[in-house]
Parts: sequence; structure tokens; C-alpha cells
Amino acid sequence: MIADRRARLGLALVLGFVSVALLGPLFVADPSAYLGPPLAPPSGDFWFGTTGQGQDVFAQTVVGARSTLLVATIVAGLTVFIGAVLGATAAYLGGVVDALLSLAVNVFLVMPGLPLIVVIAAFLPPGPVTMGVVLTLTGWPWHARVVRAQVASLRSRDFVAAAQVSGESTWRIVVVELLPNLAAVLGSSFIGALLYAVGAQVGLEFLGLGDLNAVTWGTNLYWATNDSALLTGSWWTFVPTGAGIAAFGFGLTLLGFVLDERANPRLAARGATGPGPQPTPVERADG
Amino acid sequence: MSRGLLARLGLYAVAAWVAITLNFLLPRWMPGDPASALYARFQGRLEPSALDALRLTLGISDAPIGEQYVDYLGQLAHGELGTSLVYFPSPVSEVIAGGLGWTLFLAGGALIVAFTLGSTLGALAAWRRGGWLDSAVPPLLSLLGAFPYFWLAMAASWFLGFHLGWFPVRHAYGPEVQPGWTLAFAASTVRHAILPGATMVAASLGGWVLTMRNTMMGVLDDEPLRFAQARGLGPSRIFLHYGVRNALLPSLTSFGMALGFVLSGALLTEIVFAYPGQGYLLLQAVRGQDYPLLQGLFLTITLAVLGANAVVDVLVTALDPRTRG
Amino acid sequence: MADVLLEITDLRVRYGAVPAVDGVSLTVRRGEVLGLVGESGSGKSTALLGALRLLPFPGRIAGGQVRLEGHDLLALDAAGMRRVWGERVGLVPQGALSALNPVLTLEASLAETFAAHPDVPAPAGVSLRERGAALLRRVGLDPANLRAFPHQLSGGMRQRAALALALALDPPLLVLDEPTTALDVVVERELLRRLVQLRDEAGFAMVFITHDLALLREFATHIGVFYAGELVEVGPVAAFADGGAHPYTRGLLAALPPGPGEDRVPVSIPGHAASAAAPPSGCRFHPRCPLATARCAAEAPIRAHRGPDHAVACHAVPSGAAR
Repeated sequence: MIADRRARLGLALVLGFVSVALLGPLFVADPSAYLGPPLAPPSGDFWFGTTGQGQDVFAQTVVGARSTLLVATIVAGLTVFIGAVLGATAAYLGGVVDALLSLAVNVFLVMPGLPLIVVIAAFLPPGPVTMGVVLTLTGWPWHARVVRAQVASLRSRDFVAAAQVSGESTWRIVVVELLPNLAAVLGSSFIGALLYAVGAQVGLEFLGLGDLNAVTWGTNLYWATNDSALLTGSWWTFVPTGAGIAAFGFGLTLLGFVLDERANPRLAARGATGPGPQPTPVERADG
Repeated sequence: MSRGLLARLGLYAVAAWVAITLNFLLPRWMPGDPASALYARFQGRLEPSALDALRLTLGISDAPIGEQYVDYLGQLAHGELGTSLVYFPSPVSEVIAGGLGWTLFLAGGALIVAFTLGSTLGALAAWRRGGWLDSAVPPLLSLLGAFPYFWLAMAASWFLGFHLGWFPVRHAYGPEVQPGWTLAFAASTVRHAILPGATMVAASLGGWVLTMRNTMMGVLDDEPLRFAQARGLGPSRIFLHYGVRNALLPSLTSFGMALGFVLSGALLTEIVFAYPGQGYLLLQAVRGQDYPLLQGLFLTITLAVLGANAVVDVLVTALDPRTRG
Repeated sequence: MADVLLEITDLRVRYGAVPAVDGVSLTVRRGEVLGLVGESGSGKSTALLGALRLLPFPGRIAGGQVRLEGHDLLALDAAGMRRVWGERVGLVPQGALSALNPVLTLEASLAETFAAHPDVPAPAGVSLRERGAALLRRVGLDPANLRAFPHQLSGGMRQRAALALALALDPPLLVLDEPTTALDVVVERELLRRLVQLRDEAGFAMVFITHDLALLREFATHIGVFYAGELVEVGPVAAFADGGAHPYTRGLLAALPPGPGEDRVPVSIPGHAASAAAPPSGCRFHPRCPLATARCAAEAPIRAHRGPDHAVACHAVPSGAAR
């Protein structure tokens, strides 16, 4: 997998941002302090310029990564875990449990996400806990659906029947036999969940539904609009954060491509072919 | 009507009921009783009639919850969504109706353009798999799609609007025209819609390209196509009638599924351009803690998406001879 | 020889880098019914589809020659192959039940097939609808089905519709890839009877790919037996009347359930089918062969004639060309 160019680039981007989030805040100025003149363009003193309140944009970008990626990672872990447990249980037990859970999943999936999370978040006190709870509540159904489908197909295979005949408990079969077989699906789900958690989080905070005193990627963009960055031409107040979100997301997307192609070889690249179906190619040893 | 379609329509009905009920329960369930706090905040600042309306929306009532629920459903059936606080004393339904047309025009238009363009590109990429279109376009569009919608909107508004001055960057039409069926007004709305619309298309195009490309690749490996090849059918016939035609149906289905997601992005884009649609109202509602308006928007947008999904499903069923029975 | 229709010489086919067919040679003459038999993965379909350039990705032809009516198929470009497909050779694909375009009526499918071959003149004064109706009648379908979509037809009817499409331009060669696998016995018999009748009327040659050797003995004029990517025995059906010559052929026949009046117990061949991707040394059948000797493990047998048109690749079978 590492041999794949896309996978290498994706991994580098993702790991790069994870290290920035972990270590970066140790090396930058206080992102909330009023250090310089407002809306100063990038310079030797302030690499990414300053905000409308004279805060260091570079420091805000680095520190924002920490909070945003931390919440996103926790949310992604929780949603995939909840989705996997519910999906696997539904597929494994079948019957009424499966029917009810599938209905709940489908209901959540057809409802538009943003209005739902906005209305829930608006009733809760702003902050990372609210953010995590809301995004977890609305994020699990997709993973439950994917895992359910996968377990339903694994369930019909021989090794599960063998485990059942030998008298293993349902839970043991789910945890020991089925979950390891789901690794690729769960990996792909986790990537999707991270993308969702970053995107939804940033969107909610941009609306003003986050803790506005915290420094996150979302609040950076919220303040950039509030300080009229667009009308004063202060592009440096929103470009670094947006580029950070996009680079991290693009890295995840690349990893997702590679995982999907492994799970579904029909999607894999074949090298250039002619348009549509072609006659079977003929190799000529003598040219 | 096919069983599959009936099941889908039933699902939308259940989802609609869940949304309606959730809307009823949320203010009554939330910890810390935000409703009472808000009510207290507005007491003395609002007329008694507005306070009554607020009480009703927020569910501050001593009546048994069952009775409240029945009242609530009755009000809803009459299109009664309470009174907006930000736009006091306008009823929420009126405020929302004022923005609905703009959102339908902008987001609907962008959605159709993105779907058509993206599906065409995706079909061509799958057809010449490994060609330049297939290798270059999906990663490029994925990179574009990795930016938040509203960030692309900010960048476009700053660079193309503010910096180069090519497009207006705020509102749905210019101050120089009066709304009405005039050419000047139409031209102004189109000019104002280009930038927000284009950012929505740019942000969502990659998704449609990938969906169509992947479905099309499956279809291109299928039996009907192999049989068409074995009968000597030409490439254009195979592309249109075996590839696109058969990949479009599943692609349309995912169009329905993605509607809510894309709309969410469109709402945030409206905010950046101060475009007077549902997204802009959503921002006003959040900033002004206008819970009646917020809840009204949640209900309207959710029901609209469910309705659009139902329309897409009916359409897909009508296009597929297998389900026509 | 003027009556040779399809001549495959030393054909080698691979899936990507994996060998699937190794040095297969066979000949089909006008009017013949050649049945190809072998276990799944023995290369019988791959050899034929490869020879006709219809093998999908990642299939590729690694060597050999294919001539259809004297034309070198391996030298044709895509446009040239499109004129061969449908016009000079008709294929009823494996999985013919799902091979029809679900959004087209039979009439539309037939019309597009005619339209793809404008160089084949339509019979004068015959409308498209009449041409389609006549085709459906030939394969035993009610012409009313012209307006039907595939999902409105039963499995047997879809099979016939696929046959009608393959025969639309009266090709001199018809290839049927496991056409009866998904059908029940009654429908299968009906289809075979219809095929024989059609061949008698139109005089096309047939290649019939199946894993049912008993069926072929009733129905084919020639039989070819595939094992692990090689053609181990090929000959006129009479050569198989007493069980064939190759130990694998004999094993296949012994594994069949006894027919009426036969007094024997079916015996299956021990072991698992070898794969063309990683074949055993020497003769590919030697690990399962009751007659195997040390020579069989070391040296691949060369196909030798045992009678007119009858060739066998086995060290234990004496070549009896003089017989």
C-alpha cells in the first residue's frame, strides 16, 4: 500500500498535520494575545500576518489544528465504534432488531445533516463537549449501515457457522470472529468519519455555534468573516486555515481512495485503455 | 407502484414524522432548560402576544405533554411555526417563505449544473479509464472538494469579487434594481448568483464525478455490455445506451441521498455572500438566538429535502422499466 | 481446406501475468458442432473468448494464431473486430440470462444489432418489425415478445432472446458459452432441440462450451476436452463412444451418473483440478492419473494423432495414426 504514490502523499499530509497539532503549539506565540497591529499582512514578524484584533495568524492556525483534530479524532472514533457495534449486532441478530435499527439508520441518513446539528447544537451550551456530542449523535448511522452490510455478508460464510456449531456465544463471535474481518471497512469508515467531523465542526463554528473564545480552525474562519476580512482584502486571515483544512482533508481522501480500491478491485487503475470495451489485446513477441 | 418505491416513500414519511417530533421534543428535553432562560431573557422586551407565541414554540406550558403534542401538530398542520424574534413581529412561516425562492434558485440551479457536468465528466473518465481525464480530474476535484464550501466561497468572493472586481460579492440583486419581472432585475440576479453558484458547483463537482465514474465502471464490466460488444455494436451506442443509461439510474439514486449534504454546504455558502436564502436566515437565527425561526428552518429544510428525495425516487422508478412492472 | 471455418493454432492466453490457456490448437469446419468440456477454470471459455478477442480485462493473448474464414483475427483492429462480431461469429454469452440490456425492449436490442452492421443488407421489402418477428419465431419465441423488456421474460425465454440476437445477422459460426448451466433440464432439452433444428436449417457451425460431457455425446459432432489450460483430447464424437482415450476423459465419463440400462457406480476422479496458473510438472494430469509413471511427472506429453481427427496428449496412450 505504501508503494502507492497517492497513499504516500496522503499519509505524509495526515501525519504532518497530526504532528503539527501535537507539537506545534509548543513553539508558537499565544494565539489569543494581541501582539501586533490589526490586519497586518504577512511579514518577518508575523509569517501569516495578523487578525483584525492583532493576533498572530500563524499561531492561530497551528493551535487551531490541535483543537479541531482532537475533537475530530474523538468523534470519528466514537461514531465508528457505535456504528460498528450497532451495525454488527443488527446484522448478526437479524429479525426485529435488525429491522428497527435499519429503519433508524435510514431515517437519519435521509435527513439533511446541517440543519439537524445546528438545531441540536443551538439548544446546548457552546463548547467542545457539545460539539462532540452533537457530531457523534448525527454521525454514526452511515457506519452502522456499512458495517451491517459487511457483517451480513460475512455472517453467511462458513467460519461463522462453524463457530456457532461449536457453541461460542454470540458476543464472542461478533468480537473475535467478525470484527477482525471488518478491518478494511472500518478503516475506510474512520477516514470518512474524520472528514465528516472536521467539516461539520468547522461549519458549525463558522455559524457561531462553537466556543468563540477557543482557538480552532472553525472559529478562525468565524472571526475572519466577522472582522470583514473579505471587504478589506485581508486574505491572510482565512487562507492559511482553509489551506490547512483542505490539505488534511485531501490527505484523508487520498488514503480513502486507496482503501476503497483494495476493497473493490474493479475501481483500481488499469493503465490507459482505449475508449470503452476494446478487443482483447494481442502481445506480439516479435513486435 | 413497486414495493421498493413504496418502502422508500414510507421511509420518508417516517423520517418526516421523526423530524417533526424531534422539533417538538428538543426544546422540552434539553438540559439546563434553555427555553425558560430564553423566555426570561425576552420577558419585558416583547409584547405579551409575542411572549405567548414564544411560550408555545418553546413548549413552556403546564399542560400534559400529550396534549401539548396534539396542539403542536394542529398548529403545524395550519403552517403555524410561531413568531420570529429577529424579524419580530413577522411570523416564522412568512420569513422562511421569503428566503425559500432564493435558495431554490441558487442551490437548486447549482445542484443541477453540478450533477449534469459531474456525471458527464465521470462517464467520460470511466469510458477512457486511465486516460488523462480519468487520471487528472478526480484528484484535482477531490482537492477542491476538500476545502469547506464556505471557505471556497470566501476565497472566490475575495479574489474574483473584491480583488478583481468581476462579480458582485453580496446579496441576490443590486440596489439599482427593483424586484419584479424586468430584464434588468433578472440580469442582476443572474450576475449575483454566478459567484456563489460557481463555488457550490466547484465544491460538489468532484463527488458527482466520482459517483458516476465508479457506477459506470461497474456497468462497463457487466454482462449486457459484453454481449453488446459481441454483437459488434459501435462505441457511441455502447457508451450511451449501455454505459450512461444504466449508470444514470443508480447515480440518480445517490443524487437523492446526497441532496441533504450538498444543501448543507449551500446554506453556508449563502452566508458568505449574504445571499438572502435559508442559509442566511439560519445565521440570523443562530446569532439572534431566534429559536422559533431556527426550528422552523430545520423543519422546512428537512421536509423539503425529504420531498425532493421522494420526487427523485419516483423519477428513477419511472425511468427504469424493471420497476414499472 | 475450404471447409475450415475457425482454425486456432497454439493459442496462449493470460490474465495479466497469469497463464490461463497454454498452446491450444483446434479446428472447426462448416456445419460442425464442437463441444468443449472441462472443469471450471480449465480454460475452455477463456480459449474461445480469447481467440475471438472478446476476453475482458485483464485477459491478453500471449501467442498463437487464430483464423476465421481465412482472416487473421489477431491482426484486426477494433473496427475490424466489430465487423466480425455479430456478422461472422455470434456469441451467446455465459450468463445470457442477464446479458440483455434491462432498459431496452427486444425489438430495440434487435434494431441496434442490425443498425451496427449496415453492410449486411436487410432482406428487400421486409420491415424491421417483420425481420425481428421472423428471428423470434426461428428461436421459438412468440413475436409478441418484441415489445417486452428482459425482466418480463422467463429464464428460458431470455436465453432464446439472446440466441436470436446472436443469430440476427446469420453468422456462419455460433459460440455458446455454457448456455444451459442456469436452466432446468426440461428447458435445456428444448433449447438443444431448437439449436439442432436451427443448425440444420441455417447450416452454421457451433462451438458449445459446457461441463456436461454426457450432453455433448448426444449432441456434438466433435468433442474437445480441456484440463488445466490445455486441450488434452479432441476428436469426433465416435471416438468418445467407448469412453475416449485420455485417462482424464475416461475419468470424466466414469464420474457421470449411469444412464438407463447401464450397470455401474459413478467414480469421481481423485484429487483437485490443477490450475493453469501453477501447473504440475510434466503432464498436468499426472498427480491424479491412475496410469501415471515417472515419465509423466518429468515430461509433458505431445499431442499425437490416434485416428483421423482424433488427437490425444498422453504418454500412456499409444499413437495409432496408422490404425
